Amino acid sequence: MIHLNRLFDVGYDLTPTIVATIVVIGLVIRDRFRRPPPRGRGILR
Amino acid sequence: MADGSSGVMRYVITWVRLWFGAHLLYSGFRFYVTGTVPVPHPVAGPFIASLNATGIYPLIKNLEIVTGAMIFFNLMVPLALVVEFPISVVIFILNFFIVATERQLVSGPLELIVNALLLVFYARYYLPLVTPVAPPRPLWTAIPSDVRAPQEQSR
Repeated sequence: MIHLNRLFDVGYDLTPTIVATIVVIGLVIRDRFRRPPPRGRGILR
Repeated sequence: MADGSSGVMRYVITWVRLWFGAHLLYSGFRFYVTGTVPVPHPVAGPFIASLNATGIYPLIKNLEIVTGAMIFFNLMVPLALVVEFPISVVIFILNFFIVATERQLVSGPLELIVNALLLVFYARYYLPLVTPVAPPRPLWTAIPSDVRAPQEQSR
């Protein structure tokens, strides 16, 4: 149990940092490469 | 941008929100894996043991899981931040002033600073609460036009 506690102590700081960083990098990549919505292609053009 | 933030700041706020949500979820679920972590301190040790014996400690851990999920998955974040704030204050006092080991001196202030920072990031949601003289407004009464949501007013 002591070893498990020590393992969880290390993960306490690392896990949220890794998770948040991976998700935000994913969001940045998604926003960077998202195709802009088509404009001016309507029937009236 | 509709959420009031743009550019890099939007990602910064998202990162802090995700960090705090993941931190709370981790802390809450850890309780169910390892149980209460023993605190070798003459004051904090019996305090945590008493919280555990009275069932308050498991309640706090369950609250951490619920508010952590709300904050991580972006559901009613302003409410979750307010619910979590008293817990963050107690953690700060216990870690920083009472236990005050090397690790606790960092983790205590971090908990409070991140919670407070997120409250600042979502501060506009709390402005209606800062009403000096507030007449009662029960749920069962009609909504006055001045307190309707902005999107409702623009219709």
